[in-house]
Amino acid sequence: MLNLGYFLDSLKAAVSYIPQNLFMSLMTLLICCVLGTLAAMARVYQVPVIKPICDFLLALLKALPQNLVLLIVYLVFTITFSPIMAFLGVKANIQNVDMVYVAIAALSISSLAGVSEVIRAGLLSVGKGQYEAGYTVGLTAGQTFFHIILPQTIRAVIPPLTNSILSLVKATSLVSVIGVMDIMNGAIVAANTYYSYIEAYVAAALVFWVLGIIIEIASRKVEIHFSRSVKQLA
Amino acid sequence: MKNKFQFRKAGSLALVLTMILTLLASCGSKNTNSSAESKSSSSQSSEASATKVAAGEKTKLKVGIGNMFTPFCYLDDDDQPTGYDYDVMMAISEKLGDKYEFVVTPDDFSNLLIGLDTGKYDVAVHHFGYTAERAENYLYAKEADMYFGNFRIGFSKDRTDITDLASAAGKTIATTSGSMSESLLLKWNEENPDQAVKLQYIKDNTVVYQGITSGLYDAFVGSQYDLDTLSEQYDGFMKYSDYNVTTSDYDCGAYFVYSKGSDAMQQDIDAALVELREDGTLKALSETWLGADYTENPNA
Repeated sequence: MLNLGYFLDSLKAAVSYIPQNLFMSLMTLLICCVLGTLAAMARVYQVPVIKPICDFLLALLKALPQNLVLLIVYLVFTITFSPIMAFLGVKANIQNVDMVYVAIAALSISSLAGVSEVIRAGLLSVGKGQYEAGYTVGLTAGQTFFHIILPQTIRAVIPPLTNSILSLVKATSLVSVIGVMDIMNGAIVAANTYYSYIEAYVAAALVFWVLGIIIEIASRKVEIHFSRSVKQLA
Repeated sequence: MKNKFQFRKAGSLALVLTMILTLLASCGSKNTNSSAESKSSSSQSSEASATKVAAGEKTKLKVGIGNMFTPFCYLDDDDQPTGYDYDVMMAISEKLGDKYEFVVTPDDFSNLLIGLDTGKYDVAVHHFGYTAERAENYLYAKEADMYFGNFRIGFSKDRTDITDLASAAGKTIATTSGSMSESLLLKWNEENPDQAVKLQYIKDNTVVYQGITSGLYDAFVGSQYDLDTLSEQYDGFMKYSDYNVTTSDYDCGAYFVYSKGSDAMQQDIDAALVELREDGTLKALSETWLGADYTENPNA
């Protein structure tokens, strides 16, 4: 059924895009975690003005399909780049911008709501008594948050966040709509010469699958690390 | 707990290794068996069709046709296949109606080819361009149902620096994955490594339009027909030079593609295509759908 030569061509191409895919997914995750935590904190701690804005924006972002966000960000970028650079007086060539960053911006926008909800759920999972315990022993609000609440939140969010990472890694196969190459399309382009698409799809599936397993194992390790104190208590 | 986890880890690792080995084993076996298999299956199918015709029954001819390649093969507002290639196939089905029962299924570009591999389709219709490499794996029709015409290099109407591929050396040229323009560009890069162009894969006309007008991409290579249609769609934003990207040894026909061994079907359909060309049906369809006659080989 499969031709080994074509399969290896596609596999090689797919593997060569792993660093780019991981870079895109991890950068996106980092951005989403930072912004998502801020948004989640604003919502959990009922910060006036900011909370309703976050509620509204996240609900808006949640509703948009990822490839639509990619196209919109691409169009906004290409339309506004030259006017903005001219306004700033910077002489810049649009071709020198790596489109990977445009893809990261788009993926961040579409994944922000999901990641923020995961973190919000994590924050809510820590009981009120934990805050009170912190304040009783004389810790400040900041100390209570960073030393007591945050570690427990991290432990709670790792399993759902692993899901977010996995869907991000898979979502990178959509960035080809704005012309950024990835594992999936690298494999397909390698197959164009001989029209060997079955081999290409199997190669891409294999790469995604191995990546998924690695991410799963890594997340277990991190989860165990953050669960140390819990086990000692039990 | 720790033992359990390690056990699970070892288990998943073993699973991965088994899957990879199985895959590779099945890959390896193709090289030796495939030609024999396809030969035997073809003789079987021709025998089968012979007996069916003798019994007065029609052979089923499974046609896979593209679903988003306007105006050649795409879906209309009611999700029904339509387009130039579809109408040509319908005209062929009228000619061959006594012998074959045509079953037409719309599908995605690469799925059409996979469908040929798996036997889901007997013939794939997606304006396939011919290269010797592709003909190693699939049986190409001998008759083209359309000729792409010459390929041109298109660029923003404000630019004067690009005239041919040599002048576009080092520049970014947009193309679509799996297209004739892609293989022409790859061939150029292979033969002119000093004047190589950068290939940029795109999927969407809006992205090409916006990429070319913003300067993100320098040029777009396509058939004259593609460039005219694209430029018209966005107020004539693009123009092209007289430079012919298609080299003289290149085949500029658009072909139906069959699985290896479907020679009988291919010959029947080719014969019907010749008739349609001679009686003017192809020309009329081309003028209706494409606005001009693209059914004669411009390089013949």
